[in-house]
Amino acid sequence: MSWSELLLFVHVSVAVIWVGGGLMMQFFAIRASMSGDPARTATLGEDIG
Amino acid sequence: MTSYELWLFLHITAAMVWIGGAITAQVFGVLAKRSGDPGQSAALGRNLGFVGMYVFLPSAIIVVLTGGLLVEDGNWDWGEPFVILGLLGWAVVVAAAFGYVVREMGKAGARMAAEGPSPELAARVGTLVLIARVLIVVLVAIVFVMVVKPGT
Repeated sequence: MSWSELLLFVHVSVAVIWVGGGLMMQFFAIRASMSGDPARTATLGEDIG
Repeated sequence: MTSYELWLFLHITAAMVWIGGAITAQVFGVLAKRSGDPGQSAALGRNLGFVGMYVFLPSAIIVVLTGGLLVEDGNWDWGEPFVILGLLGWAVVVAAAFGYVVREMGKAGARMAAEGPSPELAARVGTLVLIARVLIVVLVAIVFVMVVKPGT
């Protein structure tokens, strides 16, 4: 494995975590908001922050 | 833009949603466990049951379909080690995740909704999150194989 391949793997992996993670937080936030339970939204906000 | 580039974009995007989402779910799992509040684990179980079926499963299907299109469009050989390893890993993760973990997560979430959160159900969600962690390691290994493409 070359340095270029290693850097590409790290680049793709962190992009996956960043973009996929951001999207997942949006799904959780929508579900928390739809539940009508302010405590659930507050907990989610605390976890994300 | 060529059709190959379009499939590649969709393949990477779906993999991002699936793997990145699963890793983030793990972080929420750790936070829910640390909180010591069974209610938080209950909410997480319900969320993961839903997200697993309506976000992760479609993403997993898009990943394998666009992967097949990439092999065809890019004139790759179906016998390439990275193609075989990718398909095998995908099949193992999909069978375990959607055939067991997500279903059980949904059941645990439904039980919590009906009976209320309990330490027993929170422990059940914790175990399922742990199994999901192993599957994420397999998914990251697949990403590594896709990037490095050993044997090509």
